[in-house]
Amino acid sequence: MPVREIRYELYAGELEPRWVRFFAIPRFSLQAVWSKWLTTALLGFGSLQLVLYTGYLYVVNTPVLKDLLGLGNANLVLGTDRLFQSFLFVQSFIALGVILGAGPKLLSPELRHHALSIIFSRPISRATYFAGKVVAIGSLMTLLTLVQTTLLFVVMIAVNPPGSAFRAEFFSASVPAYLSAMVYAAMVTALYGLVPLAASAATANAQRAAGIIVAIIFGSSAAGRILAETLDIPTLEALGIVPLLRNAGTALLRGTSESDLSPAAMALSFFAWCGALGWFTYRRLRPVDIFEE
Amino acid sequence: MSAPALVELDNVSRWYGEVIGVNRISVVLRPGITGLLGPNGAGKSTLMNVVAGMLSPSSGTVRVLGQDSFANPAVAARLGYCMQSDAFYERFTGIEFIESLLLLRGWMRSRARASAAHALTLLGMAENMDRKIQTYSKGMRQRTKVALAVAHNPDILVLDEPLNGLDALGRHEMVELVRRWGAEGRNVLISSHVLHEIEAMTNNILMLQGGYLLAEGDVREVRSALKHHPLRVFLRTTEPRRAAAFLLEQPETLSVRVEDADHALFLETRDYAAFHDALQRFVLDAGGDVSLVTVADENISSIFDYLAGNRGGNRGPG
Amino acid sequence: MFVELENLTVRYGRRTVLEGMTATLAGKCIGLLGPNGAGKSTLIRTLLGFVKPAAGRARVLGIDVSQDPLAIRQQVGYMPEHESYIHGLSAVRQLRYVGELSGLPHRAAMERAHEMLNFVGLGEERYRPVETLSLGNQQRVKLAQSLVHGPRLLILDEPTNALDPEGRQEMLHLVRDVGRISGSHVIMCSHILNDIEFCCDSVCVINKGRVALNGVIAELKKEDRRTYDLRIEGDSERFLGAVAARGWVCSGNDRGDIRVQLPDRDDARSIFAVAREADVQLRHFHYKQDTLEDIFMNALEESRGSAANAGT
Repeated sequence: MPVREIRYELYAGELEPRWVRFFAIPRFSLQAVWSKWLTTALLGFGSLQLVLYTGYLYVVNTPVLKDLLGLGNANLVLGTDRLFQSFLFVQSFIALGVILGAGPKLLSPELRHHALSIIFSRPISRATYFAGKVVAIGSLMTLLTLVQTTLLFVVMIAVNPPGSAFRAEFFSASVPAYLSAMVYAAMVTALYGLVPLAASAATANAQRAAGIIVAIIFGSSAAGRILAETLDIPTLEALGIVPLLRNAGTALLRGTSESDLSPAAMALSFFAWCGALGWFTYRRLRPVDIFEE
Repeated sequence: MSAPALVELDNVSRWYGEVIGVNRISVVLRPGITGLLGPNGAGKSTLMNVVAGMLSPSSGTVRVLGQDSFANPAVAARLGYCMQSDAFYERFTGIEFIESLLLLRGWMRSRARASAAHALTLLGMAENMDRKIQTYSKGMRQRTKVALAVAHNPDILVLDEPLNGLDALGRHEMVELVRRWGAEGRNVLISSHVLHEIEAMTNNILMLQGGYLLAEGDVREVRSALKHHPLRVFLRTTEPRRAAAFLLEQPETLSVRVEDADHALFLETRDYAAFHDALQRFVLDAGGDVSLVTVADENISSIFDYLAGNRGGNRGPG
Repeated sequence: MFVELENLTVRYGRRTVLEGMTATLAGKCIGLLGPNGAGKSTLIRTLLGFVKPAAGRARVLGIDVSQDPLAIRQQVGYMPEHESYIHGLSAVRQLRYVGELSGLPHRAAMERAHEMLNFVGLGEERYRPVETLSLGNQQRVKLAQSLVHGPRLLILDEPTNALDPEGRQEMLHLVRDVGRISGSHVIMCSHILNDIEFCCDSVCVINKGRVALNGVIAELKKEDRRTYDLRIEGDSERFLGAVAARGWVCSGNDRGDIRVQLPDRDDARSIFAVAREADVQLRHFHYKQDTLEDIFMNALEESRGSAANAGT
């Protein structure tokens, strides 16, 4: 072939199955939001607590170290449930930082210049695309919440000595606490995943999307509190995302009696938020020129 | 009214800091329609703004109807300008919008209303002029803008991309309308990226590039001034090879390409008169049968290519 | 025959946008023409499988649009009218992304992204974010993305929109190359009839949700070999005098074009004879032939007439 002509040719090669195409969506989305900063946030701040807790657990379970540090016989052992609760409470604030940094870039850049037109002219349905975006932000959140919680549980198993309360009540208390923590982590993942998704679907401007994230999370919390106080119905505080998650954590890990809000109200609010945010995002995934009502 | 030149630019420059708008433009617009051509960023809109008196030149003088055009109400009263960008009061209806701007010129209400209605009707907006502008399509906005430019019956019209956003029918109507204004003796300066449409309106062009005037005048004059490009002629005949042999004998013929399947012949010649002589002999004396002869590059598109592409525009082979 | 419409009817709510369209689109490159609001964009949406017909059928490359829209979009490329790209992503990355969404394997998506960018003539700029490119280059990227998965049908909506003359010319050449050289069919929407004429071999005119005309352009152009359009150089008075002496009917326009009508006893050769007599050169000489504009205007006129008849 002495000369190769530059021209348009049909594609004759193999095509990937549906699920491989599906994972192109989160892959490219994460590539787009990835930055040095995000790596630091995820591996640095995200794992900071795990390192601290490991240190703490090691010290309280090692008498020699306790003596060295002059802690003597003080009983520093905290209940597994309490550990998970405070761990995830702090972790959700780190997650907030991550979604403020990465969330706005999930959809805003695609809305800015009508990119949805070229995306939806592909053999991909709206539901698939939505699911792909959920997987993208969900996997980021999962790294911070579910994965970290599991790692913490593994550390607990490794560090606690055979005679400890943790081991003694392993199946009756420790494992249930872990499972409750996972449910709590899943709630954080869902809400803190869907909020940035909806916010970046609401506007083509990434900075404005970050503002909307803050507005949804703290605005809803303030609004919930004001409503609860003015109408004198304390349950209404469950509308706020921050109190919802805080109380859900308490209820799941410390028992419903410790929580200010009723489980039913919290469940209702949680599913209402997820539904509303998801529905809104899905609705916004419509290129102007190819869909019409 | 045609005693002083309608539009006269003398050494006009307009700079935006170090950014060039137009530089050292000297031209007297001929009566009728003038097509303003150039790539993006050539300075077309700047030139139109300067002529319309919306911008003052950094140096040089612009005289419209013998007067300085910049912010001159006497000029504005006789000049209509359709800008490229949209600037409407969205809550007004089409007719209210034009009427209100005519009132600002100090017109009586009844006269303003009648003129606005007349202009909108002329632009095919009779059915839509009582709707709010915010509901208008791109094409309707374009028509409204042009209606605004002609509502006060100006002698001079400056139309910046008036065909933008119009559909094929709208384009056809607008071209007809502009031709009519030209035939009525108005002076129209019009720009479009679609060179065929300029060609349908006028033979008279101004071509800008990088802020400088590259060519001005009748298409054929401009073409014949591009001496380094031999004329390209296209002909169709039942016997292209015999015609080619005949025409190649002409020393002025530089090249011939034959396309047997199309019964077509492309030819480059330095001298059209000599070519035409040979062609005439081929048809009249040698019994050739020719159904089409045309100079393929004596049109606005070719001139634009030669000048803008700078493919030899002023540089010759020698 | 890549698109078959059988009595296709599309409604949005109660509004009927396409009404009983029946047509077979064939040829390599077809121009889709029609006034604003005629239903062109609705037809495109239907062909891409985004709108379900209320009645009738539409088949694209043999696939029914209401049955398998994803299979259609596997084989169809679409270039929208307005700008369309992901902010902050390079041209290569965008093309890889949409390529992989279309099912190309990782490596193939990468290769085809570069091949298509080579085809549209984008150089080193392909590694820069698309928003930093010139309008003309953005338009090239938009064309390239519609080709990356190797579609057998390409739908282009106003591909020369907002381009300057050079950009327009380049885009038109690319479109024509796709239509002529490759195995892909092209449907091109444009308001500029010259663009359609340059790129397309067939044309489909739609008006008010119906097909007004559908056929091969060259066959639709009517010829009149007794009427000639001329442009001359030399003494036009003398030429017109000689024409009048022969008794030819003659008209002219303000731009110096002359139209003569030959009686039966004369033929094209006589025009050369008159030119020699009057010592003028013929710069342009051709029998009268419809332009696409004539065809388009006639089609609209006729569809208006038939709609009026149907109404009564």
